[in-house]
Order: sequence, then C-alpha cells, then structure tokens
Amino acid sequence: MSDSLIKLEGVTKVFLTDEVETHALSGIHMDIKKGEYVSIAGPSGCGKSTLLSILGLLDSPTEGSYILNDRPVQGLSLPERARIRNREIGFIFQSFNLIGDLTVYENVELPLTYRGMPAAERKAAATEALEKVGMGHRAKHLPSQLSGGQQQRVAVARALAGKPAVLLADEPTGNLDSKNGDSVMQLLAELHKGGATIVMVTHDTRFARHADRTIHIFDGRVVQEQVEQAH
Amino acid sequence: MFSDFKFAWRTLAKTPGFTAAAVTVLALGIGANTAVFSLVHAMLFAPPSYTQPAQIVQVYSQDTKNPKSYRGFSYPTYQDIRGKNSVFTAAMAFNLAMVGVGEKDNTRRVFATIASSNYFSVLGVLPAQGRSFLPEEETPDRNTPVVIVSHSFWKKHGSDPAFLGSQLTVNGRLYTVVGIMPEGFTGTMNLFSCEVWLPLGVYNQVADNFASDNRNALGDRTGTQLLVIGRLKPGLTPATAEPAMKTLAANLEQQFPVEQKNQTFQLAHLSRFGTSDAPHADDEGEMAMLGTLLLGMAGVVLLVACLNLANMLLARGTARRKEIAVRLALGASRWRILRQLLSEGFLLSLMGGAVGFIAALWSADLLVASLGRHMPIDMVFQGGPQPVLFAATFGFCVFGTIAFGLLPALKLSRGDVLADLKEHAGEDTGRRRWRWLPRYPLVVAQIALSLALLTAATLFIRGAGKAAMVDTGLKTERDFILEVDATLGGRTEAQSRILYSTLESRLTVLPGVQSASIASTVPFGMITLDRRVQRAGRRPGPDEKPATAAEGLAFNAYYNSVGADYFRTVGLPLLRGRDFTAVEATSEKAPAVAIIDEALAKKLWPEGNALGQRIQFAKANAPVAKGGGTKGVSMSSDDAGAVKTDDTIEIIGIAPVVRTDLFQKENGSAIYFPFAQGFQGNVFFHVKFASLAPAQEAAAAEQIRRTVREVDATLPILSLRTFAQHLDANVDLWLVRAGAALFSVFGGLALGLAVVGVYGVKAYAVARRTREIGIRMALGAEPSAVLWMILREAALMLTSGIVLGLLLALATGKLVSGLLYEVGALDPVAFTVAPLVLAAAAFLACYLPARRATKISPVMALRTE
Ligand SMILES: Nc1ncnc2c1ncn2[C@@H]1O[C@H](COP(=O)(O)OP(=O)(O)OP(=O)(O)O)[C@@H](O)[C@H]1O
Ligand SMILES: [Mg+2]
Repeated sequence: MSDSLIKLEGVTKVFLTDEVETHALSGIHMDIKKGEYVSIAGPSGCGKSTLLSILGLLDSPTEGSYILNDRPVQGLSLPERARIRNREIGFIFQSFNLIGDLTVYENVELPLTYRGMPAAERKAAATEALEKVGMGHRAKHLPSQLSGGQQQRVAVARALAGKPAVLLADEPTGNLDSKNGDSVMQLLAELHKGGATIVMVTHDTRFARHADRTIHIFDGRVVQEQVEQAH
Repeated sequence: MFSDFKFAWRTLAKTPGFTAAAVTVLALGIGANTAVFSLVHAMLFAPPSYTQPAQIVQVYSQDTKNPKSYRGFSYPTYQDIRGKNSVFTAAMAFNLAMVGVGEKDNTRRVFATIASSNYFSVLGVLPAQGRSFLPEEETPDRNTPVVIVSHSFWKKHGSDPAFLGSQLTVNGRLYTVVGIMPEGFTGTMNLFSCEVWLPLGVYNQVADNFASDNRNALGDRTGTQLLVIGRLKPGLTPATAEPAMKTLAANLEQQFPVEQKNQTFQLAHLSRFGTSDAPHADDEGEMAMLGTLLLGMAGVVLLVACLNLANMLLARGTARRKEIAVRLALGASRWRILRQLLSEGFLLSLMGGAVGFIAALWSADLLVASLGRHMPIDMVFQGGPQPVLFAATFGFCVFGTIAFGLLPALKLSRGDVLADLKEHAGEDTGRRRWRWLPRYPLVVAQIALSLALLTAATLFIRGAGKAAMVDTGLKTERDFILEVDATLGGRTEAQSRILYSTLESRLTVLPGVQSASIASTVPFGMITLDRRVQRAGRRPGPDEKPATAAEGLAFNAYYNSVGADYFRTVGLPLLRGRDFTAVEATSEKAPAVAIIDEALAKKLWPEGNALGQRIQFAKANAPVAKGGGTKGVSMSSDDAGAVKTDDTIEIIGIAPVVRTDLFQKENGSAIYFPFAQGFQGNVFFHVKFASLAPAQEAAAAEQIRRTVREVDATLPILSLRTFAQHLDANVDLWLVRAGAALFSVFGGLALGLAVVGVYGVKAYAVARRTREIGIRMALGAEPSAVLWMILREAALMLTSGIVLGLLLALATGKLVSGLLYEVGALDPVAFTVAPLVLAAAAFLACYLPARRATKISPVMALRTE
C-alpha cells in the first residue's frame, strides 16, 4: 500500500460538439498523496474544472489511467462510480449547489442516506460536520435563508460529513466576498491540518498559499508544479 | 384589448409546439362538448318542425271511470270536434301505419302517417313542392291513391326533379306523388319522422293495425283509430281551452251515449318523440336523463382537458417567471399582466374551439347516421353549423379559458419580483408548505376524473359484452329468419293464409333444410305482443281483487302464434305434452289449443298440473297480476284472431322458458298459439339447416329467396338473415353498445388526456430538477436511487388520484346504474380493470421521464448556470 491517493497517467479529455473537437486535457500526469493539499491554477478555459470532474468520477477520461486509492477506476459501471463518489469524494462547488427545498441538516445528511447509513449514525455524523463548520445552530434553516458564506460552509459540511478520502473544491470562494472567502479558506486549512486531502481549483494566488503545492495548467497540460513557501 | 391579442398571438407563435399541444387538448375537450350539445339540443331543446308550437295541442279522450285509460277517436267523432269546438282555429286527425314501399325490385317497410287533408295547414308547414291533400281525398273509402313524401325520402330517390307526379308502389298499389315536404319537416315528432303521408281516404286499404284494436272501418263511430291535434286560437292555452272541450265531450256523450260513454277530453302539448293516445309519455324524462348524463360526461372531459392545460400553462409560466418579473419590475400593473395571460388563454380556447367545432359537427353526423341505420323509423337530424351551436361552443371556450387560464394567471402575476429575478430559472425556491400533499393537485384531479369516466366506460362495456352474449334459450345456430308481409302487397287475409302455408311447406322440403316454421313474432324482434290470460271459468270484475289464479287473477304473457314444427325448428323441445298438429297449425276451425311456458304454467297452476287444463283470455278491464309479458304492444281482448274471448283453450304442452328481449325484467311467461288461430300479416319463417358453414350462408339465403319467388314473385321480402345476424341487429343491443361506445370514447379521451397530463408534468418536473438531480448524483445517488425518487413521488400522485377517482367512480356507478345492462354499479371487474388500466398507463407515463432522469449527466447538469 502506497501513500499515493490519486494517480493520473496520460489523461486526456476530448469533447466532441458539432464536429468540433475540444482538447480540454492533453496528457495529464498527476500524483497526489494522502493528506496533501493541492491547488490547481490556470487561465479560464484551460481545463481545471474538467480535470476536477474526472478526479471526482463525474466524468471519465478519453484516454489514460486513473488510480484512486490503489484502485483503477476507469471502466467501472455507473452504480459503482456513484458508490465511489459517495464514499471517497466530497464536492464543494463555486455555486454551493445546495438543494433548495431541503433544510441545512437534510442537505448534509443526503450523501449519508445514499450510503444506506442508519438514521442514528447519520444524525451523529451530520451534526458533527455542521458543528465543525460552525453551522450547527442553523440546522433547521433552508438554504435560501442563509448568506452565501454560510451556504458554502454548509456545502463544506456536506462534503466532509461522510469522511471522504478527498475533498474536491472548484473555486469555492468564487461566489463569495473576500471576508466570507477568507473564512471558508480558513475552514479548509483547518480541515487539512486535521488530515484531510484537498484538491482545490482557485484563481486567487492568496488562497493558493494555503496549499502544499500548486499545479499550473495551461491549455490542458501541466506546465509547472510549485511547492508553496508557507510550508 | 386588441393589442393584447396581437401580443398574445406573437407569444404563442413563438412556441408552436406548446400551442399545437394546447389547441389539440382543447379541441378534444370542446369538440366533445359541442358534439354532445348538438345531439342533446336536437333531442331536448330544438323547436319542433311545426310553426308556433305553443298553439299546437293534442286532444286526449279519457275514461272518466278509469282515468288512467285513454283511447283514440273515430273519424265521425273527429268531425264533430272539428266542427263544434270553440277553441281551435283548426283541428286535424291522423294515425301512423307501416306500409311497404316499392323501391326497384325491393319492398321497404316505412312509417306512414295517414292524415286528414288539413294536417299540413294545421301544423303550418306546406309541401315544398306540389300540394297538400284535397278535402275530398280525406273522405273514408274515397281511396284516391295519392302520396306526399318527406324530403329525406325524396333524397333517397336521388332528389329526382321528376319525382313529383311520378308513381310509387305502396302496399302493392300505385300511388301518385303529389307533394314533397321541405327539408327538416318531421311531422308531429322531433328527430323521428314518417317518410310518407297518405290521405285518410285510403285508411281502410293501408292501415295494418299492427298495434291496436282498430279493426273497425274508418267511418264507424265506434272506432278509435285517430289522434286529434288542434291549433289553439291566439291567447288560449291548454288549460284555458280545456273546459270548453270538456263541455263538448259532455254534449257528445249525450248525443252518442253508447259510443262516447264515460269519455271526456283533455288537452296537452305534444310529446317530443311519442305518438300516443295517452298524454305524458315518460320517454322525455328518460331522454332528459340521458342528455344530462351525456353532457355531464362531456363536461368532465372538458374539465380534464382544462386541468391538463392549466398544468401546461403553469409549467410554461414558471419558465416565464423571469420575463414577468422583469415586466413587473418595469412597472406593469398586475391587472395588465393578468389581462395579457388571459388573452393568451382565450386565444388558445378560440383556436381549440374552432378545431373542435368542425370535429364535433362531423362526429355528431356520424353518430346519428349510425343510430339511424338501426332504427325502424327515419331519423332527421339537422346537423351543420347553427347559431345555437356557435353560441354553445363560444360558451365552452369562455368556460375553458376561466377553468384553465385563471389560476395560472393569478399565480404568475402575483410574482415575487426579487426572488424570480435572482433564482435559477424554474427551480423550486424554498420549501413547499404542505409537503405531504402530492406535488401536482391538478394532475391528481385529472387522474381522479378520468378514472371515474373510465370505470363508467368499463361498466358499460361489461354490459354490452353481457348483452351480446345474451342467451335466448333457443338453439338457433343454423337458423335463418325470413320476414315477409303479404298484406303489404295488397293481399287479403285468406290469400295470405294460403300463401304462408304453401311457403312453409316449400321451405321445409328444401335440400339441406331440417325443418321450417312460421311465427308471428321472433324473440328480439322489433315487435312483441302481449296477451292476458286466466284460468277458464271465473271472470272477476274490475273492482274485485283476486289474489290467486284460482280466484281468477289474470297474467300477462308474451304471445306468439307458430307453425306445427316451431319448437323443433328453434330448438326448444317441449317439457311435457305435445306439439301442435299440422291441422291445428293451419286450420282456423280446429279446436282452440295452446302451449304455455313453464313460468306461465307455474303462475296459473302453482301446484304443477297445468297440462290438460283450460284457460281463457281476460277481458280488457280484468284484474291482472304485475310482471310478465314484454314491454311490447299489448293487444286488447277483442282482437285475437280466430280465438274469441269467450272461448276456452286447452293447454296441450309446456315449453321451456325463453328470453324474448334484452331488457326483459323477468324471463318467461309466454303463450303459443297455432298460427291459424293467431293470423298476422307480418310473419317470420324460421328455416333450420342440417348444417350451415359460414361459407354456405350466401347460397342458403339465395335458395330461400328463390323459393319465395317461385311461390309468389310479388311477395315482398322484408328481411332475410341468420338468427345471429338478427340478434346482432337488435335495437336494444345497439343502444347498449352505443352507450358503451360513447362512454368508451369519453373514457378514452379522458384517459388519454390524463396520461398526457401525467407525462407532461413528470417530464417537466424532471427537466426543471435537472440541476438538483445532478447534485444528488454528484453526492453519490445511484441511477436506481434517482429512478425511485421520481417514481416514489409519482406513486404518491397516482395513488391519491386513484383513491379519489374510485370514490368518484362509486358515485358515477350509482348514477348510471339504471342504464347498465345486468351489471352491478359496484361490478368488481370494472372496479379492478379500470384502475389497473389507468395505473399502468399513468405509471408508464411516469416511468419514461424517470428513466430520462437517470441518464442526466451530472457534469452537464452542474454546468448550467
Ligand atoms: N461538455 C463540454 N463540451 C464541449 N466542450 C467542453 C465541455 N466541457 C468543457 N469544455 C471545454 O473544455 C475546455 C475546458 O473547460 P473547463 O470548464 O475545464 O475550463 P476551466 O479551466 O474550468 O475554466 P474556468 O476557469 O473558466 O472555469 C473549455 O474550452 C471548454 O469550452
Ligand atoms: Mg471551471
């Protein structure tokens, strides 16, 4: 058993729309270790989100291999991929993506129900996650009754409630003002200190500093890997 | 306002798919209503074809001693009324008869009115071509052979311009066509019409008296052949005119104490459909009930269509919420938005109404044509666009707009501007307040309503199935029925007797024929006859109340006069006793004998020893037990062929019970006479073949036809078909089937609309929730979990709809139970099949969108910003 959590080899992704091929990713190699905090940077349209959805098994590469937790994951069936997403991966989106007619608590509990976890366990895990992000007192609210920063905290709680192997965050501060953005980043940093593996896409070089290293992507290729000074 | 419509038109043109779907749904809903309305209007509300109907009344002759008893008038009495009354501007007399009209090589039986010369002028409608009858043509036995025909009769003869003045064969004699009535004239009835009119002067030559005791010559004051209709003087009503008529009746009674004994006169407006010597025919109540039911059914279809459309509009509205929010934000008033949305709805309604209107006219004509083919009487239905139909259709459009347009318009124009401007287009914001209620109450209502209609349809279909399978009790697999009437060809009774006897023996010896027999009526025929019989001996008076047969109680019995081989031919072996002998069957002078069925035998001799006993016909006023007999024509006692009321009749055989018509409440109670004892002009020959494969039927029929021609080339064949075809053509069966077909059409429409509604709402919900489903999938929901989520919600919706629908269906079943044929209002089959069909269809309608939901790509779903 290695301490490598994510291993990409020669991953390419080609989108075909109206006879036009878009090479979103071209031969990505990547190795992310357990407990690492990696930030991904690059200009708009360079393929960051595409890379993240491949890492999150929302999409599959056109070519190349992906080994997650020592297990090759290309060629798995849809239900198996869903199961891996549910147990191993926590998503944090730029636009929060909470479900509008579920309460804060129900949103956090949702991935656990898909796992078939007993109600009592679900309650403990969801409550713990909400406490961790400081939103325990808002459990009964609806997302629309929260501020953007608070919604993103709930989204973080939802992502980590199931104790996934890795948290994937796509510009988690993109829709937030700098104060709220800072506090969400602070939260991620704390989670990292607690042992979580995090892969985060961000434009903001200030936040990239929280990471162990930053992978720069340009036109679908890794152009530079940079170990952050802070660590 | 106009600009509202212009804008509405532009908006609808932008979404042609939605507009087409909405117009189709509305066209079905509105079309069904217009079609039904046009029928119900013709049945119940359309004015009669005679002018100023308020002035037209019928005179009824009532028995003062027995107020429930009415009778017709003799010609002399009619003349007295015409000459001596003070309330009518004019009064006419007529009666109905069936006559044989020669058409090419064929003789067709049609209804004829035999009328006084002023018939048309009293009704206020004169022939469109030619002339009315002349006063001298009315004189009894003047016998001028002239005929006036209906417009539809003329049309059947190719609307030939030379038809007026040409010759027409009526009952074997040539008549000159002197007049053609205008289109739409239906005489004294609505919707149903005679095809020819003959003058009273030919009455004694053509009247067949198939239905009554009018054996007297027309000039005889004891006759009761005629119905009298008068046109009241202006300002009079039936009520104000009646006292004068009663005085006239009293004067006549003084003048003719025997003929007019106990007779007084009543006045009343005409029944819409009946021609009867008694007022208040109850057919109108039944028609009104049927009409209401039809309108109700069509109304439910429209309601389902509207619910459906309301849903579509709501769905579309959610997508337009942003547009409306922008307009509200720019300062448009709520009323303005409301008006705009309603204009769109109304425009849709009008388009749907226009399409529906055309479809309705077409389908109503189709239905009436189908009905007409099964009716013995000409149906004159004035289809086509009429102002009242335009008005009704417009009414349905307005109702529709309000029913489907108002709720969505109100909901949308309320608009929470801020939320709508911010939100993702079309997504739910916030939590629904009543989460345990199904999400789409309008769809639940649609499901419920269509289940009610569908269950009713299934009940009717079950009834039709049972009716088609009805067991007559006869074995008639290889049986042909030949119907002839020698008297229509102008032959006397004596000539006809010989002719029938010859024909019967010739048919019996045809190669391949097992046996053949004459009969005066056939089970499930157009006409059935009733007689009242009692044990020979005692004749209790009208005021006595005998409780048993032994005390002289009389019983109704289905009456048939048959040949010697009848029971063998129709496969009805006698239980006890013997068949008629050939002599009994053909000789008037043979001793009076009868065969009765088991049911009548039990009634007359409950101890079981009826065989060998003697019975007699009861007098007209004798006390009669309830039940028995048929709904058919009841002959009075002095009209019984050779057997006189005073003769006693020996029971020589007991036959099994037979079913004689579809709606018979109680099977059996029948009496059979030898044909010679019960002669009738209109007769049937049962011809049983030893074997008859379907391929041989045409040849067998031709063989029978040839035999008839050989016996008498001029004898008109009124019909010739197998017993199975005869049953199939039964009017009652047609009614039951038509009811089933109508309900099936409405049930099917409602089912279709509801399924489309369910599908629409689910497909829309899935589309609207794409993002949410994407999120769930990203969080690890497996495809099956997504499928179940959608189906679980659908199940809640369907279950609530079906439970509500079953409750509605129970009520509907109770409502229509009177019209059902041998099916209980709670028929377990109908109440299982209908919900299952609906549930299966609706489930499929949910499954397709649900499956599409599992195919959503989470990446794509989450990208939509
Ligand atoms: N489903 C798709 N079909 C076609 N092209 C796609 C699809 N998804 C992404 N692309 C293309 O792939 C390229 C990479 O897109 P991606 O969303 O990964 O960029 P990004 O780096 O996340 O950009 P941004 O910083 O703006 O979010 C783009 O050129 C994009 O147009
Ligand atoms: Mg991106």
